[in-house]
Amino acid sequence: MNRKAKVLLIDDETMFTRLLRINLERTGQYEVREENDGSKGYAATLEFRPDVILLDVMMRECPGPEVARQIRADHQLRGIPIIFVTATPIDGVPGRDEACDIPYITKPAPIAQIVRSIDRTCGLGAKGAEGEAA
Amino acid sequence: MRKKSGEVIDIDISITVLKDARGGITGSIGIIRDITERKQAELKLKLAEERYRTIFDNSAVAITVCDGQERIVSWNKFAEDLFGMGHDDLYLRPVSSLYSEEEWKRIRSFNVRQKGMQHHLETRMRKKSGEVIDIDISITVLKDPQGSITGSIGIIRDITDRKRAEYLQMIQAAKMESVGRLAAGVAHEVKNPLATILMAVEYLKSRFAADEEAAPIIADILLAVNRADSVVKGLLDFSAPGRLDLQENDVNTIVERALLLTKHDLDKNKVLVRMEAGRDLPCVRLDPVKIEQVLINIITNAMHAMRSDGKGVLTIRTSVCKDLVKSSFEDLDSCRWFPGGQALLLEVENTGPGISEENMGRVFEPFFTTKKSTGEGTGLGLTVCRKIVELHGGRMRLDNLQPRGLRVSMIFRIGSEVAR
Repeated sequence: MNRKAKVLLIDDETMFTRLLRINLERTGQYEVREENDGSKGYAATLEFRPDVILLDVMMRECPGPEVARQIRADHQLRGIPIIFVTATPIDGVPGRDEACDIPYITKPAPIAQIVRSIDRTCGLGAKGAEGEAA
Repeated sequence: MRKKSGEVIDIDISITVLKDARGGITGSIGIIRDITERKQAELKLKLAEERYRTIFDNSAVAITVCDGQERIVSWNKFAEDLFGMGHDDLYLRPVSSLYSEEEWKRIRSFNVRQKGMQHHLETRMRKKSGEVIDIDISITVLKDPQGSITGSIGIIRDITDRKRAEYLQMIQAAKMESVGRLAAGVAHEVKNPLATILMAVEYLKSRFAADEEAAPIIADILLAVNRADSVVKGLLDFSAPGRLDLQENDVNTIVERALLLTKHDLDKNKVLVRMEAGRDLPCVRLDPVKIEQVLINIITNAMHAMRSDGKGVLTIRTSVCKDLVKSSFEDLDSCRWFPGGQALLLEVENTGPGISEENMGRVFEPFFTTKKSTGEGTGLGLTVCRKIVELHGGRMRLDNLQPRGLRVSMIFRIGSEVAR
């Protein structure tokens, strides 16, 4: 891939997204955008057109599975791979059943694991697997 | 009297004296009936009565007999001991006086006099000392041939200890539940800042990788983050071991996989592993990942316990326990749940120092740990293990071995049903 992969972080933990962005950018492989308001997740996706979305699950304004539903309802965006990044056990999350094919990473996850998941999911490495995106 | 043949028979004789007009005795008439059969029947009845009397008197349950007015007329020794009352206290005592007004009303509501009997009614009664005890009473109403009630028999068992144990269990369950709820809430609030710290530390790590002073400090922060994360993970496992993904499984395969995953650490700690796999074991419905998690936890505990030995032996045994009554899982409740008193038995033994008497009762408490080094144990491992085993409808227990060592035993129901 010649250009940098575009990664959109949708998470209401501002400190986390800032540090994750810095770490991802330092690898030199990614162009990263942060969106800390879940309810603006869809609009941010539409505008940024990322290669992959790292999506928090429990967000105050709008839960991650709902953001995923909105994105997938748009035929232009539906093909963008999503990875949940969650501090909450994924089993009990409302709306999880509709989004059960979305792989997830459990917080706190080391940057190496996050990079691996992004590369797999974007098809930069091995094919992304369902379940925990390790 | 003796017959000509020499045989002795029981007789009933009526003699009438014959007199003349002046009153002088002139003779007598004897009417003799052979009552040997009646006598034998009476003897049999007496023996039978004695037999029942012996059962009545020596029963390990209290038995009371009441008359038609519900007054106690007969009772056995056990009843005297249980009620703490003697003959004067019991004879013709209205049976209702043994209960509180409220309990008596409740007993009445079962309409035992109409139904004729009531088995295993659990209630509370007052002893002479005023102490209230929990009892299980079975009542049979006695009727005459015309169907009128002539009395009743009550068979009473003292279940105070069982009730107390149930109550304690209930408190423990409520305690566990509240810890679980708290854990799930705390986990979310702790994992997010941990994720932020981890990102910050990783940034610093990449910036100061070559800094000799900073590198070990950063490594320490990373360790601390991992430790905090493992505590939260343990809490989450404890609060929600999750759904079981049950499959018919060969338990030996699960054991082998758990051993494979812990092989590196077992070798490092020079632990000798002995696998005593039972042959032709029946299939059991288990969640292989969860049971593997239980085994890894128990094996890790064993390794920690044996580390100072240098020559620890870990034995894992699988078998069919054919008689739960004779095993350590002797409680009746378990036996009822495991058909035919049989279960699949999975045992893990280690040659470590075992668990002290005072700690044995606490090992399943959340956050209880005897591990001294930080980062080795959160005190949640065994709590979660037991919860997982019980989710399968199984049971788990710990026993010290002689002269030293510890055995963790788990039983699982053979067959297809699991949910309980």
